[in-house]
Amino acid sequence: MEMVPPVAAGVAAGTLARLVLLRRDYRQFPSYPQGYTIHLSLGFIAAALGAIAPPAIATGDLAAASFLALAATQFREVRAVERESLVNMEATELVPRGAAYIEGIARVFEARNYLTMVTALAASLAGVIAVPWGPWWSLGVALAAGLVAVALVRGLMSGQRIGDIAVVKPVPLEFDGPLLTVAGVQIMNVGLPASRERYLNEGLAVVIRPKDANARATLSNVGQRQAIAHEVAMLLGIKMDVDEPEFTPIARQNPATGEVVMAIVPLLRDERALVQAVEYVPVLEGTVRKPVASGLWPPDLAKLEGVREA
Amino acid sequence: MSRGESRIVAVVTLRQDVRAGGVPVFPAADEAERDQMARLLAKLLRGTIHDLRNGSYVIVRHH
Repeated sequence: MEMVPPVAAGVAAGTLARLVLLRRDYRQFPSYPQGYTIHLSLGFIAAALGAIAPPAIATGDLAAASFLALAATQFREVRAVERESLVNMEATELVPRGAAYIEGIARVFEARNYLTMVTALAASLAGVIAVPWGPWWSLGVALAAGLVAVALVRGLMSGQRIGDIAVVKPVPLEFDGPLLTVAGVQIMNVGLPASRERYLNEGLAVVIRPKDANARATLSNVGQRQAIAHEVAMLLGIKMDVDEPEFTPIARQNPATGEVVMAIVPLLRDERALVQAVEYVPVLEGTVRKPVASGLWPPDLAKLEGVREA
Repeated sequence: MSRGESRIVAVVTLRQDVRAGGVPVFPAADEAERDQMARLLAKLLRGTIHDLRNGSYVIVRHH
């Protein structure tokens, strides 16, 4: 009975951590009631698994601790399920997420369950240590440790965003004959004059200028660029339907400077909103490149390789 | 950002002398007819209209 307070506090802290992570990043997944239910339930189970480990070890039941290994298998399954459902929905998206983004989301979902487990474990462990002082102390210490762990998790898991690695600026879009051109980069050939008209009257364009050679390498990843196109189309809306593929936003890179440009015909035609939307796109874990860390790049090139001053 | 192959599904042209090769060719009398025809075909075929700048439009299906 004396182990009830640490376990209860651990489960509560873990579930809270899952809830916090679910709220933090609403854009990673549609936050429908069903999604909330699924992930909170899984989070609860993860928290329970984490919370019972320290008391189990403290009371000499070492076999119970091996359940943690079982949990890891379970959460890998979560990742597979997330990936599968997103891949299945891909065909119904006007602007697809792309494989890299889906992989990133799936990975995040798996990682969040581990964090939930670790949070619960930390809270429960603190509670178990405080058991000799009595149940109320145990509960209090466990809850305090849990809250600290939740705060840590919040801070640790906020990854980089495009705004951290690049400077985003609105630029005019223009046509060179039929070629949609933004900041000197030809994006695509728009044949129909009426479509060009729509781009000119209702379209917006941005240039995404990498801050260093690392950022440039990251932005050259096609999956990262597809994620930008998807997020922007989702946040600002997009004036197109499936039979107008010429309005699909495409992010192209200028090979000479590393700048990425993109044009879109959004529902919300607001340059500041567009810039903010691009800046808020997460840098996908799978696309992060750090060539400069190899030491092969001389410092002057590593800093602003071929990139025009902002 | 399609990664699959792109395929020309139709050609709409102002030139009257072009014989159909591997794809259907639709000759148009003037620019208005060409644009109209290209638009209708692109909608039917879910293709993108690209201007070759020699009087011809190609309708391409990007995957």
